[in-house]
Amino acid sequence: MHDKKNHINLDYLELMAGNDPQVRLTLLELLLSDLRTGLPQMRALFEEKKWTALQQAAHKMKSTLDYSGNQAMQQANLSILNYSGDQQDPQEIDLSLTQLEKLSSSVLIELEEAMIKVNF
Amino acid sequence: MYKHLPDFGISNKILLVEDDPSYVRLVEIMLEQSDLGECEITNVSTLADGLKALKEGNYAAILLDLNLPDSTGFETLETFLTHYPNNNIIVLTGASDKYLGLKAVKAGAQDYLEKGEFDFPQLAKSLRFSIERSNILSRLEDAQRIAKIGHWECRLNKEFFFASNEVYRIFNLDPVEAKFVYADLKNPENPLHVLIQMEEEAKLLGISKREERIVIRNGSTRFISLTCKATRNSLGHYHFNGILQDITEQKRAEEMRNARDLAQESAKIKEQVIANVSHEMRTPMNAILGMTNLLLPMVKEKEEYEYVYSIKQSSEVLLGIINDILHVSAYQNNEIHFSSNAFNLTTVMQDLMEAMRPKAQEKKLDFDLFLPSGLHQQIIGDKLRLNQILYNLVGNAIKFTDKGGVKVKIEILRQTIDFLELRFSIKDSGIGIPDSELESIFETFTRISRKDRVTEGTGLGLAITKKIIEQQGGKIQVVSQLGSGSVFYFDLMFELAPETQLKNKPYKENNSAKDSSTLSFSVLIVEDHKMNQLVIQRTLEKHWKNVKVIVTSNGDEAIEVLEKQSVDIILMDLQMPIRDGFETTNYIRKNMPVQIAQTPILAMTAHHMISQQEKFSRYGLDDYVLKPFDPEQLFEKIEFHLARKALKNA
Repeated sequence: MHDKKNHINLDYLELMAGNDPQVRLTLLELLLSDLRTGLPQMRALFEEKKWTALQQAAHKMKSTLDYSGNQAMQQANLSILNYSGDQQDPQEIDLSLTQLEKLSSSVLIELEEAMIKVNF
Repeated sequence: MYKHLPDFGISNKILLVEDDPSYVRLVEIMLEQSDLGECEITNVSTLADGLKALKEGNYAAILLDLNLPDSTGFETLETFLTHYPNNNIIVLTGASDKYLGLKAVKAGAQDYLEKGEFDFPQLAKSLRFSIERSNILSRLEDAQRIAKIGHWECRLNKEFFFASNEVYRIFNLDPVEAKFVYADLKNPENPLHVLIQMEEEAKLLGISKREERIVIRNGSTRFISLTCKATRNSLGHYHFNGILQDITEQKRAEEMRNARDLAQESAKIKEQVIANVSHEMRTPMNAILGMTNLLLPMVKEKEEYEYVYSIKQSSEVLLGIINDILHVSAYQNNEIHFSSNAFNLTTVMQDLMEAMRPKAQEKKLDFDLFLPSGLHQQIIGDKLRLNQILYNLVGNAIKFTDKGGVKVKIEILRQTIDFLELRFSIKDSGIGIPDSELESIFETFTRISRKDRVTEGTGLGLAITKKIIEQQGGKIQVVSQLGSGSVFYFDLMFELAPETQLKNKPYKENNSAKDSSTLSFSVLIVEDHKMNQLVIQRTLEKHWKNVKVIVTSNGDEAIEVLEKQSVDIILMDLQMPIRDGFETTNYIRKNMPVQIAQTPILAMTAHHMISQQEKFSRYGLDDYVLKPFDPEQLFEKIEFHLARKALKNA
């Protein structure tokens, strides 16, 4: 009924898809797409010190990560959300962003596997 | 000129220290002829009597003959000045003692008059200045006392030191008895010894300032602020003067402010931690609820269905309890928020019994529910809070009962057309509560302890229960007998839900989803996140066959849609680009036609304390759904607000 691997937990995605394979596939596609484009975008905003935009991007990523079920990524993103507001802590953001990027590679692989499974 | 001098209300009492009666009479006559008005003259003829008179009363001026039977010459003046330095002394000298008069003024006398040489205008003038000076000094003294500021001065070349009375009072010393001379300051034990150090600093810097914490004679602590200013005359001699202020009250206020700031900061950190922990705890709870919701429709067997349904009911209550424990600070500040929804009381009670029955059965306890006949089934109130109260009290009753049973009972206390007052009682045959603990059981972190049993729980349950009941206008009471059992009972008022409301509204109880599945309405989703858009749309369409869903990605798009058509309800993400949820809601409420402006708007947010934010109600949001969202909660809230809207329109 659901994938329980090392880096992803699709319980919430499954719940929201409600046994509808098409919705499940679309959600997986969107999740992959958001992760592939969202994280480099956040890195670029960090490099440009665009804190408000970075906070907005982290807010959007928060919803995305709910579907991935990766708690470490959720936590790292929450940290970026907190530290990119009025009182920025670039060091902390950099650390969390790096952690997000590292974790995302394994998550992406597992999501792609899940996609293949759906397509079969 | 004198007539224009202000009258400060000081009495014109004059002390005349003179042993020559003829001269005393002469002075009296002169004063009668002056324009000083009412002058009260007290005459003494010796130094000893003069000092005694000053001890007993206040005088605006002293006319002092230097040659008295018990003291002669300059020594007479010095004795007076030593004892009463602030008094205005006008020295009366002989005609040939002009030098002595000048010397007296230099030493501290106010003025001198040569006997036989002065006339009544001169005497009046001198007294007038003296009285005026007395007035000013008196006001200065008052001002210093009120402000708790004393002044001091010091001349090194003469080893002279003077401090105003307030300086002594600050140190809890008697200003008359404790007069310090410069030599006293050199003693490290002297409270003003610090001035010696400050003088050295002031020599270098011109001015020296310090704050000192001192322990005064009565053992109490005071904070004083000291200033020392140095000036140097042409001969190179230093003159120091400064002020000394008791700043204890300011310091205490500052300490309290700091403590308050620290407490506020700690509360802020605590709230942040609570918010984070809440998020962490809520996620697995949502998963349990979500999985149960998925599992429920798949279960075919009746018995299994009841088990899963009990899991769902208990999980909902547990989620509510987690929220409440995490919101304990809100409870302490009386900030509980109650919802007001229609629900079926009998169903709530039956669900409660079913959920708790396995626990009672484990202990082989009788477990019975008694409902009054004619009980109005549909009432309006906060179902979750009522459940929270009942689960806590019934849970406790089972926990503390080993034999016998637990009875849950509802009685109707009062019923009107609109309202119903009920008494809920939970009676057990358990261990009972000693009288000494009856008061404290409702306090936070209090648990009933018994040597022969281990007590589970946080000790928050009854405290939270009491708060919830009291904030709904009710009261909880307990009657107990040690060894025989306890009865907890509480009274609550509920609004009656009209039958028509219930028949027409799409409100759903438990798993009777069919009741509302045919509901036809339109919903506008304002959400920038594509996955959330899809999920909300799909969830709504799966639940309601006749729902029309319109999806927009930001506030501007939503307003554009609403300008062309109205919808029945709006689901609003709060943080969006272009125009956020608050601004969009504000715009809809203020700038759109009434029909659209009154559309129910539900915020969709991850912030569980959103409803406590001032702008939540200010911008006119009706309710909120937490993200990641629980479909049941979303359905229930949509149905509730649609029903409310229908009632309003009706």
